[in-house]
Amino acid sequence: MTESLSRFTRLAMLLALIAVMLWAVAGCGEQAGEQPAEEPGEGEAAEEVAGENGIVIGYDQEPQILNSFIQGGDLAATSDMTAGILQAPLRITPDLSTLESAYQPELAESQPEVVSEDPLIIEYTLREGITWSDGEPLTSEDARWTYEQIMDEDNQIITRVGWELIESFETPDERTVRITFSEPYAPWRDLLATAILPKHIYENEDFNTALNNEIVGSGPFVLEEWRKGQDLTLVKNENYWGEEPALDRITFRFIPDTNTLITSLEAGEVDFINPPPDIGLIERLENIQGAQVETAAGTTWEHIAFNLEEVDNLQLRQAIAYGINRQQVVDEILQGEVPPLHSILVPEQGDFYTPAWEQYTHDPERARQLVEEAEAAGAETTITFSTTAGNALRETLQQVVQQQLQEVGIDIRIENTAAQTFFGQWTVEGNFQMGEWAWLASPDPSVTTLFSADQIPPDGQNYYRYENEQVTEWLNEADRTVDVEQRAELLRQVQEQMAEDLPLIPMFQRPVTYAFVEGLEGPEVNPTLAGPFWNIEEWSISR
Amino acid sequence: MVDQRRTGAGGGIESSEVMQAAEAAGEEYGKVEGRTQREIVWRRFKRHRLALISAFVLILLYISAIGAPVFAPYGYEEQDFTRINQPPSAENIMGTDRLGRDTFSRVLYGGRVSLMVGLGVGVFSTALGAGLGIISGYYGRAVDVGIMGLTDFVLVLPFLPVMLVLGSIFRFTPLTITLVLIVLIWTQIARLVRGEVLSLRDREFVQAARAIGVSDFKIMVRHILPNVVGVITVQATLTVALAILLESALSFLGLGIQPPTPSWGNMLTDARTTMTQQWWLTIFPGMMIVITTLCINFLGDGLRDALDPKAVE
Amino acid sequence: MLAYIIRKILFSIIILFVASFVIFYLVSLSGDPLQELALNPRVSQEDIERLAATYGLDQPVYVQYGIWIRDILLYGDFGLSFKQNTDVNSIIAARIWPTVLLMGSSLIFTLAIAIPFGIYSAIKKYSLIDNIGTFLSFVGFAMPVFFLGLILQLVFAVYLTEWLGVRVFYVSGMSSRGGGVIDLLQHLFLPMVTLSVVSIATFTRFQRSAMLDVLSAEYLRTARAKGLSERTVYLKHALRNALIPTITLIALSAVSLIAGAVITETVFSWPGLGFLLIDSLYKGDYNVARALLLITAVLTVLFNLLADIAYSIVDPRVSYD
Repeated sequence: MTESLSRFTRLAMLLALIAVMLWAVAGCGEQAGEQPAEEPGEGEAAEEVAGENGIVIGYDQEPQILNSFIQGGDLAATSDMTAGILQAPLRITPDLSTLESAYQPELAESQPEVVSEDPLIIEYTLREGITWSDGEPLTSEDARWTYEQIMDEDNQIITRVGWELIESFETPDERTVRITFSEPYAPWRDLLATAILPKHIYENEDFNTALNNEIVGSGPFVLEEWRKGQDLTLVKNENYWGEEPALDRITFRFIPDTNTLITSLEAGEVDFINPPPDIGLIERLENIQGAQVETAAGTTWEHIAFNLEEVDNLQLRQAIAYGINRQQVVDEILQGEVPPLHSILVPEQGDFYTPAWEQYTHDPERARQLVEEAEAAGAETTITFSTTAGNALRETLQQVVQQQLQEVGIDIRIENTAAQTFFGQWTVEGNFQMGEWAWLASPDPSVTTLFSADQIPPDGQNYYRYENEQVTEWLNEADRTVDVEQRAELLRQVQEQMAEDLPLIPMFQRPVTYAFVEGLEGPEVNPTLAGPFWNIEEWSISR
Repeated sequence: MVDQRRTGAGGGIESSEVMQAAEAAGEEYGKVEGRTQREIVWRRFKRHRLALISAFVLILLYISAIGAPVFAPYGYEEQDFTRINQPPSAENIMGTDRLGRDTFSRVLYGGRVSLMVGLGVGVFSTALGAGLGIISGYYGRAVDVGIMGLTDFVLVLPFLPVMLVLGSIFRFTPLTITLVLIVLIWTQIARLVRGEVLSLRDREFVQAARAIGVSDFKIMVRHILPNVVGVITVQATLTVALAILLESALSFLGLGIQPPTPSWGNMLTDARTTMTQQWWLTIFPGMMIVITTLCINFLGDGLRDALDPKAVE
Repeated sequence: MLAYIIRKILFSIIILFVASFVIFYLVSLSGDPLQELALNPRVSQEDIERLAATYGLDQPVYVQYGIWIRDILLYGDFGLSFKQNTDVNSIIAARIWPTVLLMGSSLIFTLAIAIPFGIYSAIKKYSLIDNIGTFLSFVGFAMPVFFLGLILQLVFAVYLTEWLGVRVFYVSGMSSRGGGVIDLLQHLFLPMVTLSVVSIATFTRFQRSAMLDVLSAEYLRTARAKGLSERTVYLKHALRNALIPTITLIALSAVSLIAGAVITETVFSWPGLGFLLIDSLYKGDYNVARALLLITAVLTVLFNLLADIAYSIVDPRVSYD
């Protein structure tokens, strides 16, 4: 037995060696990647699945339902899946510099006309000869029916914000829509960027269930098949009223794990991915042979939030603002891919934006002084810092900030929890001192629900418990001001004042990253909620 | 210990096995008779060379984990932005991570967390499980029904939601994770021990002890416990390994120990997306998990052989 | 005996009731499914309250529980998914085939390797093959599952494909559209292997020790004494008895069929029940999570009960009162 044991030991060592070698191959297998493969496997499988003129998109989340109006349809997945199917009078483009460039006519013939500012009356005309994918004409009656569905009490509509201000929805003729609001409503374009649904198909169906698993629209593609848990496929709309799309077929494969998503592109199983920002993501994507990578600053912005009931000392907040080296933070976690953000709106929003937080440059000296003053006033310099657990980007940010603030005499304790609990309980109940999260921004610059004093939970999303009457007044006034110049002026005032009050410190815009195979043309980063597939009819593939 | 040998000789079933053992071991039978139980166990254990090596490695690991503040060249939170993502070098023998932290130091401190969670869960859930298992098996009837009801109940408790909810109440620290794992894991040991005790409690030596008026507590501790100590020890080692693996699995699901406190599990999870670029960030914590659980399993195997009264050599 | 079984069953039912409430309550504590909507600045608090009322989320927990358990007991209806606006039953039904496929093939793969190996190891104790097997099964135990999956993906799907120029295995998903059986197997292989490694380790060890127990039993000595050939002894007498404990273990591990592969399914994007569970928990799709947990609980109790009863029948030494 002793003899066999020693043999066993030798064997064990050999096996361990093999295991380590295998591991090394897996770990630093770039050598393998560099070998010139005569017949690269890249793209092969994706091609097999999608056919000559189709693509496979790796997508990290499966939609729950396809109806984006009702509860469950709030995920980005729903709007991304239906981007090629549904159309709206206006569509959101990546050019946010003016409202008119951000919202461009899609089903509407031209930019809507503001007939009167007070009372606000908007009128637009639908294009001539547009049809649903079944060939039936798309008319103003469909637009009205869609509005009626949103207002129908029996439907589980997610939001009626804006819609409830509509006093009358008139359709003078088949192509004209005239909307009268009960009070001026500046973000009215958002309502016109909402899809129109076909009345003749869903008229007699239950709106809460009929559009969950299948959907009919007027766009360049139609839904072919949704294999739950696996993939969803679109094919070319044979009756499309516009220019024929280049692609015949688009398959969305659902791959929830980011790492697997990237590996799938690497293995050539998918042609396009848009993974969420992560540490070292770009570097990894750029290492993939034959992949193109595109990235841009998005309109979702990360920020450090204060619960003003807990961190009520302004000097302490200023100390934190001066103590954090925001440039270093973005350099650390995103390799400087995006610059630090200086406001609660994004620069892409043109006139509405002003870099109000620019004054808070890294100044540890000043920060230390402010900490001392705050301490003298009795402020607690140990602060807990919370965010959603499992998000590497945020957790790294916390650790960098923790280190930076330690140098100016502020002790940061990190306490995180699952996103569910963080947004479901902590922010709502005010169970945090300093937090880190992101807001999704719509191209329209209204931020009233976030910072107005009458929006403190449970009434709204002012999780900062920020109460400034002046700001509240400006915000509400801005929402009622249809004139773009005046509205921009009010919102710039809001930003300047908030930079003084410091209920939050903006950090950066989340980068939006697309990676796709060579030969795929057309993807153009759209940082807004309109998502990557806003121009899917222009995509083409050559293998 | 002495009791167990007596049982071995007196019990109906074991006697035949001792005979077999004697046959198999040939002339060794006589020598065995002259040793104490402890000597026999140690002698058998020593022969399992891999288990011996494993025990040695584990002791080293625990020493380095406990002494992490002494051995680690840097603090686990110490960031150095001039040295980001460096491969292993003389200065940082396991390289540095995305914040310029020294991987070697983090592996040591991470070991502290992982090994302590493992040991804590192993010891306490085994103690709890074994205690309740013995009581349940020994008393039977209502006590048994009650305790087994409790184990059945814990068994059906949904592991993930419990973690999710408790995580939102207590926040995840090494201590709370250990506690939660103890509460959720002890049942297996309890069931196993109870099963053993059920077949022991009506045996001659227990009946004899009862007849001469030995108290229940004494019977359980002095007569029953030594007979199940083998099962318990082996199970305890396996539980340590299980807890270390569970911690890493929980980290993967975002429910593990929260940064900046390192654990092997969360280090491995954090680094997995950059595995092809910064291989040193996955290999070292990954290796540590594999080596540790491997050693624990070998140790358990060695103990099983050494403690098994029926073992044929 | 009968009395014992009846008592045990009654007891199990009580446990299940308590557990069902705990499950219901715990899941609802894990966060508010509608509050995530609040992240969208275009959703107002009134919108959220209105939706809460439609789903009955504004009722006290015990009322919600009462309705939930009544529908399950009376109609076998697990309620409505908050997120998918469809009944939970059909959501779960859609995931059963992928789950059974993955679990079933993994079980077959496991047994096909573990049983012969375990038996061989026991017969040829301490042989070279026994030692290799022992070592490998320990390594199998020691690997974190997600890590193993990651390595397999890189080696067998990325590097192997690049090296061969032909795809053999897939990184993710269950099947390609319009793919046949071969395509399914190409997708199935890696998750199946990942899932099997730990169980192969367990079953091999288990089978080995069961066989060792049998080999030292007296009836085998008798069989040998009768002059039967070694082959007959092993195959006819030993094997049959050594398989009984393995079958018990299979029955007990059947519970993990429901959600035992959360991590493997996540890593390989396999559309099974385990992934559905974690996904619904994170998304706050309460009723889906509750249904899966309750089903798991029922099966756990059921299989334990069966094991208990079997145990009491098989082992006459165990007395019950």
